[in-house]
Amino acid sequence: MPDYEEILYEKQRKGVLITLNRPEAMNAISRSLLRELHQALDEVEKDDEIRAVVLTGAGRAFSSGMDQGNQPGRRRDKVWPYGMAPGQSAAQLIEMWRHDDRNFLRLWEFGKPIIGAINGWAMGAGSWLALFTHITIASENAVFAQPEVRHGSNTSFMWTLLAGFKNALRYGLTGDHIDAQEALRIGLVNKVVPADKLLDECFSLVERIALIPPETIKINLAIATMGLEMMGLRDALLLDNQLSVPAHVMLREELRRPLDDARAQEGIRKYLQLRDGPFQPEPFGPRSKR
Amino acid sequence: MPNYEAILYEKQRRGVLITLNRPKVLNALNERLLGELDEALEEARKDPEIRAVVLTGAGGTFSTGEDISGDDRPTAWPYGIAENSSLVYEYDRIRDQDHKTFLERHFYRWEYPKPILAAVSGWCLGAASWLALTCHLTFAADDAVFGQPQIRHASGTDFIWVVLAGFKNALRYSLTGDHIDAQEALRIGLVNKVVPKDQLLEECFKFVERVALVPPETVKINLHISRMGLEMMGLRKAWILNAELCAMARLTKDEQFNRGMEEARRRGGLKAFFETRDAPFQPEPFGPKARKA
Repeated sequence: MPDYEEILYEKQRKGVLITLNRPEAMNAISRSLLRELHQALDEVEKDDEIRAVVLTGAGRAFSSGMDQGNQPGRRRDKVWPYGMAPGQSAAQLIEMWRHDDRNFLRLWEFGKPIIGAINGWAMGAGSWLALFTHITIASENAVFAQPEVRHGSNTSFMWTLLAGFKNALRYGLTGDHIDAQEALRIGLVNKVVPADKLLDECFSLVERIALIPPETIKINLAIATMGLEMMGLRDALLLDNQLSVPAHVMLREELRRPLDDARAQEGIRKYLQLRDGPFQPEPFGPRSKR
Repeated sequence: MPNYEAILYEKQRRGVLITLNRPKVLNALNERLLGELDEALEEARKDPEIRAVVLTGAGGTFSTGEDISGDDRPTAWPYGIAENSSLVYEYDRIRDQDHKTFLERHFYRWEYPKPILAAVSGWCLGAASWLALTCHLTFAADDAVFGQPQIRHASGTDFIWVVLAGFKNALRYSLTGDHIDAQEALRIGLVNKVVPKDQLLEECFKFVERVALVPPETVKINLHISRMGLEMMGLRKAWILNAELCAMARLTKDEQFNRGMEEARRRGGLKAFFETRDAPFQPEPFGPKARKA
């Protein structure tokens, strides 16, 4: 068994609990964390005792999204009005963002059920990770949002698939936060449970799944996931990946530069305040008050 | 009937001959010409006397492709975009432009309810090759030359090349911008037929007259069976992705590759630009530039 640093891997009750374990960074998805998550899935594939996976986050977040610290093209010393780092060309920047990201699709196509146990903040790519799980159970503390659209980023077609066109656009175009009940209403999650019951609820489901032959489970997963792929989901995700390039590289000086300057001078907290201040109060979630 | 400046519209023999008519610039495609072509096709669509459209170019050449004569703002290096512009502005403009200029017009022609025949002689390059190849039939004169040399200065190809010529043939020419002649175009499936240049239009209108013997509704349905089938197989999706990738391709200016040709352009105009761009590729495998090593 590999030595994990950024996740926890704990077998229990016919399944395994995989915990995104960078609580100091609200479980931001770094490249190394993703690598470990895929190693853990390799291990799950080989282990017949594990009938299903429960995926959760340590601390108060499920995941705050992609780790901005180690993403390509994230350099903040940009030359304006070009919106690129010194010495960089548009060609290079586009190439850095153009990746056929199959990381999350693997979860979708996985041969054993993956149950998302959404314990808190699920932001940006953290929300996508939650939505790519086969079954998603939310604690009443869960918050879903894609606030990164406010500084130039893309949404994921998974929101449209699950929540429908209008609901997905309502939140995808603003980055607005939604709470667990709203997530349930629009179809992002299966169920909302009290925070202290979340993992028990998930593992009760794992145990029920374990009563069914694994081959049957696998085929029934495939009927649902591959059916949606045949209906065009794979094409939609392919286009989604390509559209993520303009979404990330098209930076308007008047909107982006003050954010980058605030971040360079006063850190990420100031950056987020500046970015999200105009959107408060949020329609749902802890920032909806005042 | 609108007053056309950049095209000719001449009804004849059960059809209409639409001629790209900017012979001084080898019928380069600018917005004026493409807009008039939209109008002319719409006019022909509504005219029940017209059973098919023949599209050709004036002065013995089809078209050299997109008119890039206005696109001469100096580039800021190493950024690879126009000086004092920004990536957000350039990217957005190019994406919108590619959608409007190519994608929407491709779909319009592709879904057209009457056959459109391209009558290609002389140069048929870049975006003009896309225009000719997305017509329902393409007849070539023996002097026709197809190619996408614009990819040598940061631009995209069109998936229609792959649909018609197949994966390997399309890549052979779209990765190099190499020219091909009418016979090679026939061999790889880009064109229906090669005819002597002086018989090209006669050949096309003979076909129009034959089509006119078939009921228009039958012609329409059989056009639909072919093109909708390809759409069901994913062609529409391929084109949508194509437009996105083309926008990226147009932003891939690399100092090492593009700076020299742009400086040549500033000193010696478009001619110097093309010479600098194309000299390393000569001799071409086919066509008039194939001779002399």
